[in-house]
Amino acid sequence: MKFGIAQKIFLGFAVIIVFFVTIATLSIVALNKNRQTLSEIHTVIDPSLEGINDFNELLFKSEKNLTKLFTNSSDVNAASNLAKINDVEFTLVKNNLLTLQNQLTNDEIRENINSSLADFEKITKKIKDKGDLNLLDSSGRASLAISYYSEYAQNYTELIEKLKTSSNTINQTKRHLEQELLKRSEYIRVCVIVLGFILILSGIFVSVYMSRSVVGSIKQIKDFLVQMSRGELPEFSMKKMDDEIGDIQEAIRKLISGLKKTTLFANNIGKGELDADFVPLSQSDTLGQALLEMRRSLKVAAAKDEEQNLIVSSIADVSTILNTYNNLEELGDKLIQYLCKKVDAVQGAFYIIEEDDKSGQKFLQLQNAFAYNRKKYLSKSFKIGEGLVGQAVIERDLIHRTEIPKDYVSIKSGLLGDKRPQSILIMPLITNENVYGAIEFASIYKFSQQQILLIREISEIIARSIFNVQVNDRTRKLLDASQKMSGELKEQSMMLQQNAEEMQATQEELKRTNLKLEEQINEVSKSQKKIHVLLENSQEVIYICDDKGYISYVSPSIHSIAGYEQEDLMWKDFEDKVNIDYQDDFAKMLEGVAAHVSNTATLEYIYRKKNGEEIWMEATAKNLIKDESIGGIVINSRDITVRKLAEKESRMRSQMQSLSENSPDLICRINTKGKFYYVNPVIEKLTGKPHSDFNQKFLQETELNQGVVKDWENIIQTVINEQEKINREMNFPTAEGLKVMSVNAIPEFGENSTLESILLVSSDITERKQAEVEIQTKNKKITESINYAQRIQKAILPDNSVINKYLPQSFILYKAKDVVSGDFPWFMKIDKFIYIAAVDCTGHGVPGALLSLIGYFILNDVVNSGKYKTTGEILDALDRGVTQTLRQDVEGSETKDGMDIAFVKINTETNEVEYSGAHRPLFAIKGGEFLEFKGDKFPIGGGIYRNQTNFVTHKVKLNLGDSIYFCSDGYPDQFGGPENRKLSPARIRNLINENPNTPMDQMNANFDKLFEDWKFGTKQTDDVLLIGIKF
Amino acid sequence: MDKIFLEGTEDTPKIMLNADSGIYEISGRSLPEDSAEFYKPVLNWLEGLKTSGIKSVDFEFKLEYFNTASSKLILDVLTKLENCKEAGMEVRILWFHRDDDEDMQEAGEEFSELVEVPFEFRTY
Repeated sequence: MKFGIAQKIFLGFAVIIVFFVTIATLSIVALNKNRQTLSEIHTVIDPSLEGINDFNELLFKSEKNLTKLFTNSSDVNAASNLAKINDVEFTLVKNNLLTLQNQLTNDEIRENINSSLADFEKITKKIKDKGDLNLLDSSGRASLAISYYSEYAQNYTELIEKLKTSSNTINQTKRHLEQELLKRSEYIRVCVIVLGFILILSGIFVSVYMSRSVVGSIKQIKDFLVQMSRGELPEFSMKKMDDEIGDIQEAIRKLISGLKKTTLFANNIGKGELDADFVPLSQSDTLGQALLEMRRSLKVAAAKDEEQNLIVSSIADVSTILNTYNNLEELGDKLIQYLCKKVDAVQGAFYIIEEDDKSGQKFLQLQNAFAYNRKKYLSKSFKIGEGLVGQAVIERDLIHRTEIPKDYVSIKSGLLGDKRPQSILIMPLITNENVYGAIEFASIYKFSQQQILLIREISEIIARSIFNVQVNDRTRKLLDASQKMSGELKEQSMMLQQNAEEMQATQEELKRTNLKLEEQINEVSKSQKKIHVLLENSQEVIYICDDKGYISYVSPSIHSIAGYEQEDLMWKDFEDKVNIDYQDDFAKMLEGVAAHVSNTATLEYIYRKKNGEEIWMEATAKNLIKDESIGGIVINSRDITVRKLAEKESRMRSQMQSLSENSPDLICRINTKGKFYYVNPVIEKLTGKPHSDFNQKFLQETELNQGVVKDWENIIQTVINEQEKINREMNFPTAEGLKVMSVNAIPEFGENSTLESILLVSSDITERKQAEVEIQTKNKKITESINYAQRIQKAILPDNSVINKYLPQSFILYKAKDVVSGDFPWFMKIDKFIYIAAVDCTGHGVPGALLSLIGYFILNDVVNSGKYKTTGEILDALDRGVTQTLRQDVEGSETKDGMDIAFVKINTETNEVEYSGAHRPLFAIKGGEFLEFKGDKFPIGGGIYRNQTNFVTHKVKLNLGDSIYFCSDGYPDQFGGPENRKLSPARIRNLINENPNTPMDQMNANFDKLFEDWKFGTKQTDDVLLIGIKF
Repeated sequence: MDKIFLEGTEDTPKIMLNADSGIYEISGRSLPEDSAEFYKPVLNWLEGLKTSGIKSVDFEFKLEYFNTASSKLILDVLTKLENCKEAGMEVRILWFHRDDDEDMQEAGEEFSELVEVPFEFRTY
């Protein structure tokens, strides 16, 4: 039996288990014994010792009580105690000891204890028997007692001694048992140690063994396998093992040797030794089987190769033979010789198909025969289909016969000799689908497939060669014939030459004709060019189009006329080029023209040029559809813009003429030399002479008034000089009297801007002139009247000289818008009071002046009356006066006129100033400081105002050097300045404020300058009045 | 209702009165030679406005200058508008003046005191 790895491991473990079990058993036995001993000590020995001790104590107690009893009779309790101890307690101790002693193994102790118990019972009995001690008298008792007592004491001592011996014996036994316990414990310890040691050792042994014997071997095997996996086949050298690893080793060894054999076999096959010996490792050795299969395939392939090589080499040989000989006889001879050798034939024959010259029938003619390596000169022929050979030719396939009966003599193979062949092979020679012959072989063996194949392969080559040879033969024959013919040809060529000469002559003739033609063509192309140039520069555009206007030709002149290229218009219609208003007409024209052959039509239309400009064109369309060279409608179109313009102009002119004929003005056109080109009929009316007296005549020739002629000549000369339109007024004596004419002379320029003629339009302005004169006269009268009025106004109104008398430092800036003014200064001195005012009546000019007079006189009245002290009262009175005077207090009054006023009253002694204003303020400089007193917001007069109250009187005390200014609204309301705005009170304030100490004449100039500068270039808005006073 | 449109001149204001588009404006300078004649059509037109059925009027004055004669007629215009208001129309005067033109501002204020029509002062 093999001792495998599993068994080895099992054995190792079994040994360990045996060891373990043995030692464990021993230990358990020892431990059991120890347990028994310990239990004995515990349950028997120790209680026994205790029981003996108890007995011992009981003895002492009993003895003591006995002693008491004897020694002290008075102690009553002693006797009962003694009895109790001896009876009751002893019974307990005795029972205890008796139970224990049954278990004691030591008989000696048992007996000892039993005898001790019996002894004590004896003693107690003795004591009891000796009678009741209490009954004894004291004398008697004493002596008796002593004897008794000593006896008892003796008994007790003996008993105690006995017990002591028992106790000692038990103690001895216990000690002995304990020693045994110790010994066994030691034994167990040793056992455990030994067991551990053995286990460790065996563990180490088992592991070392396993790693050595098992793992080592596996590693070695792994190395082998790794080498093999790399394709190596190492020598297998390993210590033979007896276990599973041994099996693996064996398998690897077999594998390696098997592989080596296989490798050797494969190498042999590689070297071509296909017959090498090889046995596969087993039936299922796939590699081996595959190699065997490969060898089989290789063998088959090798055989095929050999066949092929044989055939190829044979074909090469045959080709050499075929190429070497070009005579069929020789060729056939060599061929049959060679082939017979190749196919191991005893006889061979070579037939060629020939044609019977007479009948034209084809037959097979034996060309060469070969037998036993000798030529057999046999002549034999077969018809097609006759005999095996003929049959093969008909069938066009190889015939291979192997069974030839002995008496089969009728086979006309032509090869039959002495020795009857085993097989016959006949192959027709075929190429290009034609049979050229046949080859026949007879062999005493059977032909192999290879040989048959060879013959098949070669047959075609031979056939081709025969064909070639026959062709060559035929060619040779033909050559001979052709040589014969060449002589004849020579003669013919002579004739040809003659012909060629004739041809040349004809050709020259042709050339001349060609030249002529060329000239004609040139001519034509020149004339074409001419036409093209003409068309290009034509003033007309020529189109060819169909009835829908689809253009197939447009002449190049389109470029110069309309700016388009020919290509722009070709193959399009006219639509987008013809002005939309004329497109319908254009289409209609084409339609109309297309309706009948040779129809023509003309149309004027507007055409858009490439640059967008529109021109007038006139198209003449003609139907030439039937004309083969045109095949369409021809449209000649020309630019008639100039003509159109001229027409328009002439139309205009005729219109103008009719206008001029009917004009009330005298209109004439005179050239620069003074000749009438035209004069309208008005001239007849003016001069009373017929129109023809003037037309186309020179000025000087006419019977016109010399003054008129002179004036006109002057006018004409001026226009010639200035080349501009001029207007003059002149007198024109007519039949009806002298008339005033306003003459507009208009120069008329011709081409190159030269003055051609002058148009004189003379309008009769006699009446207007008369009216003007009248107006001027009236105006003059009015002006005179107004000027006169002004004188009156001036006379009334105060001026600087008057005021300066009382107020030396003062000025009045007074600028009337017209001659007379609606504004007026007013001045009055009564005693120490000076009243001074700037009054602004509504309106200006005459109406203003009228109102001013009313205001002036009423104011005079009011102030002169002396009824009114303050300026406010004065203005109230003035208002009433004006309202009454103008009847504005009546319901439905039409006049709204009134006046604004700035009214000042100065106390010349105290320089106290009172001020009241209607719409007007007072500006003052007091101590260098600017003050302003606003007037009331209602006017004097002008109807009754809803907000009107009494005028407020402002009072201010001024000192020397202080000044006041007041004005009408004309000054601040003047428009002008850079933005044409009002001068504004702000500028007045500024001027005053900036000049607190300026002398008054200077201030007058300042105010004047400010006003004039501001007004510059605009007209005066209103009358201006400004008064300044310095104290 | 007819429309009045007068282009302004150096002496006369521009007047636009168009009830259909709700434009009522007198602007520019007013110093016509005969102011009563000039304003007559305007006053007549305003008379017609009263009975036109127009619900509300925003009348714009945008004057640079008017002379004393014109001022009386402007007051007449305002009075006509006041009549319109009394007739139940909603009337408002928009009085424009240049922000530095105190005369025109004052004139407007003065007018606003003279008629019972609400004034709104605006500068331009």
